Amino acid sequence: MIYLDNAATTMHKPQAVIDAVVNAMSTFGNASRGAHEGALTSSRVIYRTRAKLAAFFGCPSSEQVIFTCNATEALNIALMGLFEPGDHVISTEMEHNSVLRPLYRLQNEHGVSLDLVPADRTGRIDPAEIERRIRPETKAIVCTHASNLTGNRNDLTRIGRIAEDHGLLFVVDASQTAGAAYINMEEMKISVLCFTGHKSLMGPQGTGGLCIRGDIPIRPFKVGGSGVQSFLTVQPPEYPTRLEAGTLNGHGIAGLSAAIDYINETGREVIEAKETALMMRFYRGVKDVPGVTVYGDFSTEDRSPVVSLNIWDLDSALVADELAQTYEIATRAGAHCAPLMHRALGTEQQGAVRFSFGWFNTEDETDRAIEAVREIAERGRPE
Amino acid sequence: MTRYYILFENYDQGLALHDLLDQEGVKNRIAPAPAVTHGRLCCGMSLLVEAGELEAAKACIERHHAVYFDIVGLEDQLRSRRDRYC
Amino acid sequence: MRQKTDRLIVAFFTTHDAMAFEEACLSRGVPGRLIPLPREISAGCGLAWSAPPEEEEAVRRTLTDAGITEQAMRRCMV
Repeated sequence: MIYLDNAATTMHKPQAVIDAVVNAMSTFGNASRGAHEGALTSSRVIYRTRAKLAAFFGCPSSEQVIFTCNATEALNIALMGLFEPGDHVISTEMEHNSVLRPLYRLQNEHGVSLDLVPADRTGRIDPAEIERRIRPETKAIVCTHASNLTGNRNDLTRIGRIAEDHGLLFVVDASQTAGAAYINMEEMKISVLCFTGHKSLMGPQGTGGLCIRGDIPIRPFKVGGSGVQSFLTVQPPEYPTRLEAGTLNGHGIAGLSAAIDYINETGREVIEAKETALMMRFYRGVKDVPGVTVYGDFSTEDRSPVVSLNIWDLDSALVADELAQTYEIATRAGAHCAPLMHRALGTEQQGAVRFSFGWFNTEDETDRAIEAVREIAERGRPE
Repeated sequence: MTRYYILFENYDQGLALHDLLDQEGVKNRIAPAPAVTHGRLCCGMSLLVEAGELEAAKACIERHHAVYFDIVGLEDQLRSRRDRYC
Repeated sequence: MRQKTDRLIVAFFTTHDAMAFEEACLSRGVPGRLIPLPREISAGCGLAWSAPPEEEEAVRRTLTDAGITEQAMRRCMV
């Protein structure tokens, strides 16, 4: 199978990640729940992984790196824990449902007002439109680093500056970029960075987190066992315990730790350059095929390695099915949990077929995908 | 040629019926749910059943009171792969 | 049961501080190890550092260098 669904999850992981998880499964006790070697082994790895992530993302304090089971959980923790009734939040039409649904919930159930900056036909938003929507009650800008549908990236430095100039929080969904693109919370004035471990970080599913820069109190999403201060009837207020009730996914975090080491040793820029090259190779190979419509802004290579397209007016699900069944190429069709992005692109009815490239893909695989698209376009040509 | 897609609200429903159909020897396979059918469901899985198996599939569903959302027919939009050796 | 000995015990507000201190001591070669917090001491975190009493100066220096504020430090029979 040619796996081109890396935006959903990176199916191929570095061997060191797999080894780390397997090893942890026979050596880890429960972190923060004891002082014996089993518990300490787990505690140490978790502690060091916080430090690695803090360094990786430019987060000033490692105790404010909070582990969650994925970016969706991180976003829910951040968004449900930051706002009060009467607050106003600005976000965009580029967002994934893991940003939109918590925001809608805040709007519908918690008296928070919401403004979504529209995207153009190429799927881009204009940061000036964010600034235009700021009002006295505005508390935060919440946006994605890159769209999981078009691959278009937002200029976090520019948006962060807008947030800082107006004294706003800046919450970033880095699901599509953490591990691949350059992210520095200090430079980009990011208040809360939400990330997932199982996409570009090439870690296990069930890992992710949020990094908090500065003195930002987030109300706990869940409360419960913390391993420390057991006689307190409320969740301990200090980070990270404040937002980490229950047993952490120690085995997964061990894998995530190995994944960060792998990326650092290989070079984040090296990985990003290869993925970008494969994306552009594919884009150039398909963009002029009769019947093919490619979505997104390809005027820049500063974008995530995603190419979404349609062929004639073929149902995107049928195309994806054909790619899988006949050509053994894995892609994702449908709405991609990004309903507003589809609406902006005009693809609500048809959906789109998304090809997303990863570190372990090859030029040969990319060329075969191009050939498959050409063939399907020929076979689906209207008579 | 019309092919039939059994639609679901979630993967659990789909996988449950897939198991039932397999057990009863009704030919079916998992396919992406067509985008055009229901906007609400176009992200999920569907079970693709050829025209000849449709009645057997429906009987199996009724027998087991299996949960599904809808069954829709769609024309195959692609011509077969051309003979590459001609 | 093994014999109790007189040790210098450092208690911490958080597990994070305890782990950070262990790492700091290991990298500086300061003797000691993490143990369950003795019952006589009350602290936020259930892990405490147990060091030979004569290492108090090294322990205090390591706390300062690592930027960690201990919750308590005292001698204990453990």
